[in-house]
Amino acid sequence: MLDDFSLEISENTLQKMKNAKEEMGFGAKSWSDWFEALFGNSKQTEKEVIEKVFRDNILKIFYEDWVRYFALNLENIWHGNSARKLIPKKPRKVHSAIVIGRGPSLQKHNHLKLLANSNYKGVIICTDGALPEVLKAGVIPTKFKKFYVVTIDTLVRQKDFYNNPVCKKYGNYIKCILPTIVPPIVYFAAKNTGMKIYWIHTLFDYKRDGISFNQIENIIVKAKNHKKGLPAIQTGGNVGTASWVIAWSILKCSTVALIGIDHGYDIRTSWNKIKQIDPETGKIITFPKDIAQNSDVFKKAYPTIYNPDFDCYVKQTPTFVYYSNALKEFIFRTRKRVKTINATEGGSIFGKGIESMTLKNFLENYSY
Amino acid sequence: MIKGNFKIKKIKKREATDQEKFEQLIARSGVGSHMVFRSKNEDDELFLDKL
Repeated sequence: MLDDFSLEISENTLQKMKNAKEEMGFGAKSWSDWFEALFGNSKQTEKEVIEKVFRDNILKIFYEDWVRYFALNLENIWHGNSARKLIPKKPRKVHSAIVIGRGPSLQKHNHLKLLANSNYKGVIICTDGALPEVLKAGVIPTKFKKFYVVTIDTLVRQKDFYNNPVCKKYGNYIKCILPTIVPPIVYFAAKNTGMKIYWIHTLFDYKRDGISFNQIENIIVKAKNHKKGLPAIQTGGNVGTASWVIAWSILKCSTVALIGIDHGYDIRTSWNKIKQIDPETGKIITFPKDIAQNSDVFKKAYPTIYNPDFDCYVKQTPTFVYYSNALKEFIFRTRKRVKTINATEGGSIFGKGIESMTLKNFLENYSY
Repeated sequence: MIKGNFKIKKIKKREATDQEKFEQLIARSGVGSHMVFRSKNEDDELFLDKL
């Protein structure tokens, strides 16, 4: 049947096709080559493949939740605070922040104890997952007055961090930044600790000249009370990167140090002990046993990389490759606006535009 | 109107390329909880005071 295939097109259309083929640099090449370029699988970089796969999976699993949670949060957003209120009217010229994740380096280097015993005067931005341990370690808002916590993940289980009794003890002194698409149960868990909530948009489909849910939610938010709308941030896919963005974009910090933001594992960690979110169900599962771990493709997807700044090796899952690729790119792009310091003493965040130093050195040199 | 015939070259079913295997492995590797945002306009990607 394919051998008999024929088509009819107008002369005008044929001319347009010839022009398009020429313009794409295929003037001297065959029609087959041109069609292949148009419809075949174009070669994407590994970074592009990872971003595309993650984007498709995340939207498939979470998009409906995000729309539903936004609708349920609306009254609380309308009657709540915009994160815009956190933008200082007269930013100081030199102003630092420490973003705290909950990567393995936090314990390995005893960073919370070091920070708790310091006289650091800058901003503390704690990721939600790290908050209970951070407070228990003595990094508390009654001592470190500029204390923020951020949630970005839209999973119901984030509520467990806020439900920890230690959060209730210090909630009144903590400012909490939440996305408009957070599960309402997480919002109430944070609010019940006494934290003051500040709303923010997280960018995921914004188009300046097109229709997107980000634009629709912006119009709805502006319909009542928030006439200027809420600020919107890149999350980089995770709360650590989002906290880094908040540090310089909203809190206007000129230097941001990262601790507990490893985006990787110690090389001795077995893949079989690593948990992941099932792309089909969104549930937490253990590492699939049927994946061959010796193939070249596996080694590309699950790389072990060398961090020359701290002379160590780091194992990464595709999720951490996805996160660290983006964070490193964003740090490089904003290097003239904000100095970023990797003080994790390891991890995968190194390269152009990133300064590496121990937390001890950071605290000695940037305690303001 | 112009009428034309295509010469159809039949292609044997092939094995997945390394790129396809890589993509399949990434797809099975789990999912993040939020996503990296990309825009045609790079300036819109990191922070927007107003949408």
